[in-house]
Amino acid sequence: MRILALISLCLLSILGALAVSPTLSSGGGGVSSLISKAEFEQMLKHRNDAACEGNGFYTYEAFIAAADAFDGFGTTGDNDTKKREIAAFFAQTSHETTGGFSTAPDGPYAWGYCCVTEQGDPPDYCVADIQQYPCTPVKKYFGRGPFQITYNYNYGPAGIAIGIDLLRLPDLVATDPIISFKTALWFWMTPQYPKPSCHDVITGRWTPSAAHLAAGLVPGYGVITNIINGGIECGRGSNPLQEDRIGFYKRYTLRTVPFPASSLLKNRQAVVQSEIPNPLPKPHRFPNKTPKKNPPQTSKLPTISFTSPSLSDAKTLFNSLINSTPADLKFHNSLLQSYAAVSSLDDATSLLRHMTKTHPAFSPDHSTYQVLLTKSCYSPDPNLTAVRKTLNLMAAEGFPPDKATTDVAVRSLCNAGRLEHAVELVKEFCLKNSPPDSVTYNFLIKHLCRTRTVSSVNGFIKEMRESFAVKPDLVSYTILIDNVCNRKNLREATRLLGLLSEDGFKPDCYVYNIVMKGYCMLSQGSEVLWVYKKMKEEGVEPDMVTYNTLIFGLSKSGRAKEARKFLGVMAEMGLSPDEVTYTSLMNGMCREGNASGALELLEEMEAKGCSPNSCTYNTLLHGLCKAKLLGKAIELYGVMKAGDVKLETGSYGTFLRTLCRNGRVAEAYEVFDYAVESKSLKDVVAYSTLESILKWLKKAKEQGLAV
Amino acid sequence: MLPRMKKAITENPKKLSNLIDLVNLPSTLRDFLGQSQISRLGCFMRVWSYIKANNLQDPNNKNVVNCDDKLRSILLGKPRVELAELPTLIKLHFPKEPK
Repeated sequence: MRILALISLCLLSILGALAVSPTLSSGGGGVSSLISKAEFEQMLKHRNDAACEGNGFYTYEAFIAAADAFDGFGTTGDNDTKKREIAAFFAQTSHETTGGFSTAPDGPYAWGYCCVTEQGDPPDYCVADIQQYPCTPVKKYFGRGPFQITYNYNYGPAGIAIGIDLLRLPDLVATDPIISFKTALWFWMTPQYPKPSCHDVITGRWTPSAAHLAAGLVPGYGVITNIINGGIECGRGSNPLQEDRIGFYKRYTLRTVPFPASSLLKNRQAVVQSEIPNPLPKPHRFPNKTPKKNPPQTSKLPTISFTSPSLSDAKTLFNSLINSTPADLKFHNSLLQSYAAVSSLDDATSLLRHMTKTHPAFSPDHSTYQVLLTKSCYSPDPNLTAVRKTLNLMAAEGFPPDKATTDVAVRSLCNAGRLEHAVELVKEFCLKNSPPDSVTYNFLIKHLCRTRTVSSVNGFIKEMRESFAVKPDLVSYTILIDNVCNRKNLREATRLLGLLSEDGFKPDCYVYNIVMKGYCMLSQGSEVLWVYKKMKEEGVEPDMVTYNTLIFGLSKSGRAKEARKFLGVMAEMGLSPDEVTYTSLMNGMCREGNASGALELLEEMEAKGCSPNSCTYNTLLHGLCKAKLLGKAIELYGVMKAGDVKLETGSYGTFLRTLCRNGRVAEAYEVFDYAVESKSLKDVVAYSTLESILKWLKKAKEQGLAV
Repeated sequence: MLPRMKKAITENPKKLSNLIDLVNLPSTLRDFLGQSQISRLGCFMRVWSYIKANNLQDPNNKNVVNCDDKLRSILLGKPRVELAELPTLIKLHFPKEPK
C-alpha cells in the first residue's frame, strides 16, 4: 500500500500542475504532453482564416515534430517553467506573424500565425561582406516562418543547425512547415551573442552579468524581446510593439500568468528600455512593422556597475561621468540600482541627492524612486521606518503613493518575507486613498494563503471589504478555493463557492477543476462526479484538465470502470486523452488487480499515437509485480531500459522484492545497477532498498515463506 | 486514508552516516581495496564491480559467486557466496550502527 500511495502522489503532482494551468496541460515527456492539439488550435484560433496567408500552413504536427528535434525545448525545469517557455515562444512568434488588428474578431491576440512571409516588396536582405554565409544569387533572405527569420547571417547558421542548406533554399522556410518551425526553434534555443538564448532566459538558466545588470537587464519576458529585436523595439519605453508581445503572452497564459505580473511590469519600467551595447549590429529585423532605422543612439551609453559600498567612491565615479553622459533617465536609474545593490539605503538616497544636485538636467521620476523603495523593502527592519521614510521622500518630491507604488512595495515586502509589514502598508495605502489594484491584492492574498491560517486570511479579506471597500474578484476567490482545497477543507471551499455567487461571480471551468481536484485528494468519487454534473448543468464546458481530474479521481476511488467510459466522452468532445489520462486510468485498474487490462490499455494508447511517460511505465511495472505477472514485468522493464526510462522509488522496490521472492537475486542486482547508472535514485536509496529486501528475504526463508 | 509512507533513508541521519561515512579499514580490506578508508556503500560497490569484472558469478546459477582467493580473503574465507548474503558479509567489516 505504501507504494500505491507513492505512485498516486506522483500522479497527483502532475494533476496539480495541470489544474494550475487551464491553457497548457502537462505531464512530463515530450512537448506534445504540454500542449495538446485542441489547445494549439484554440491558441492560434484564426490562423487558418481565408484571409490569412498562412491558411493551412502551420500545423500542430509540424510544431511537435520540430519541437521534439530540439533537446530541452519545453522540457526544461518544472512544469510551470515548461509551460511558461511554450507560452512565451508562441507569444513572441505570434507577434511576428500576426494578422490581428484591434477590432479583429476575438480581439487582436487570437490572430497569431496568420502570416508566413514578409509582406510588400521586400529587399534581398543580403549582407555580402559576411563571407561565412555567402548569399545565393537571385535568392532573397526576407522574413519567413514563425520568427520571420531575416538576413543571410541568420539563414546560414540556422540551416547548418537543422541540416538543410537554407542559404541555397531559403524558400523552404515558407513551404515546409517543419523546417519553418525548426528555424524559429533554432533562434529560440541559440544564444544571440552577446545576448543569452531566449530558452535560457525563460527557463531561468541565465544569470545576468554585471554588464547586463548595469544595462538594466534582469531575467524576464522583456529580455526575450530585447534578444529578438532589441535594436528596434527597446530603449523607447512602452510602445505598441511591446504591448502587442505582452498581449499575446497574457492571452496564452490566461489568468495564471506564470511569469509574475511584476516581471512584465518591470519590463515596462526598466528592462525594455535598455539595450546591451552590441558589438555586431545584427538586429533580427522584422518586416512590415517598423521602417528601416538605425538602433536608437541612447543605447550607446557605457555600462557601469558598482562594486564598492563606499559613498565617496560612488560620488567620484558619478562625477567623472557627468560630462560624458546626457541626462538619460534609464541610464541614471541603472546607475542608482547598481549602487543600491551593494550599498545601504541611506547611502543610495544620498547618491540620488548628489546626482540631482550635480547634474541638474537629470530629473528623477517614479521609476527612480521605486529603486529606493524596493531597496527599503528588502532592507532588514523591525518595523516600516525605512519604507515610510522613502515614501515620505517620494511624496515630498511630488510623487504621492499611487497604484504602481503600492504594487512595488507589496511585492518587494512579500518577496522579502515581510508579510505582516505588507499587510500593514496596504492598510496605510488604503487610508491614503491608494488602495491596491486587483493584481496587487491577489498577489498579497496568494502569499497570505501560503503561511496563514484560513480564518486569518478570511479575516483580512473581511477587514479590507468592510473598512476600505476593497472586494475580492473571481481570481481572489480562485486563489482562496485552491488554498482550502489543498488543505482538504472542502467544507470551506463550498462556503467560498456560495460567497462567490453572492458577489455576483459565476464559477468558471478553472474553479470547478480546483474543487474537483480537492475531492480527488480525498478519494471521494461520488463528489468528483457531482462536480462534473454541476458543471454540465451550469453550462460550463469541461476541458482537458477537467477530464483528467475526473478520470484520476474515479480511478483513485476504485471506480476505474466508470472512469474508462469517459475516454469515449472525451473523444466525443474532440479531446484526445493524453498520457496523464491513460496513466491515471492504468493506476486505477492496477489498484483493482487488473494489471493485464492496464497493459492492454498501454497498447491502445500507443496505437492512438500517445506515448507513455516514465510515470506510465512505473505505474504499470508496479501493477504487474503486484499482480504476480513477473514475466510481463521483466519484459516491460526491458522496454524501459531500452528507452532510458527512469525507475521511481516505489516501483523499484516492488520490482526488486518480486524478483528476490522468485529467487532471481542476480537480476535484482542488475536492476540495482540500472537504477544507479540511470541516476533514477540516489545510490544510498537504491542500495538501502536492496539491502533491506535481502534482509527481509533471509528472514522469510527462515520462516519458510518465500520460494 | 492512505498509510503513512516510511521515511526515506536520506531523512535518517544515523542510518545515512552508517552507509556513507568513511571508515578506517582493517588490513584485509585495505589489501583488497588498495586504500585505507572507504564508506560501507563504496565498499559494496567496489566488491560488486570486482565480481562483475572478473566474471565470478557461477554460470549455472547467477545468484551464486565463486570466490577467487582475493575475494575469499574478505568474505570469511568462503569458497562460494550467495549474492543475497553479500551485504551482510561486507557489513561485518564495519562498525555497527549506534542504537
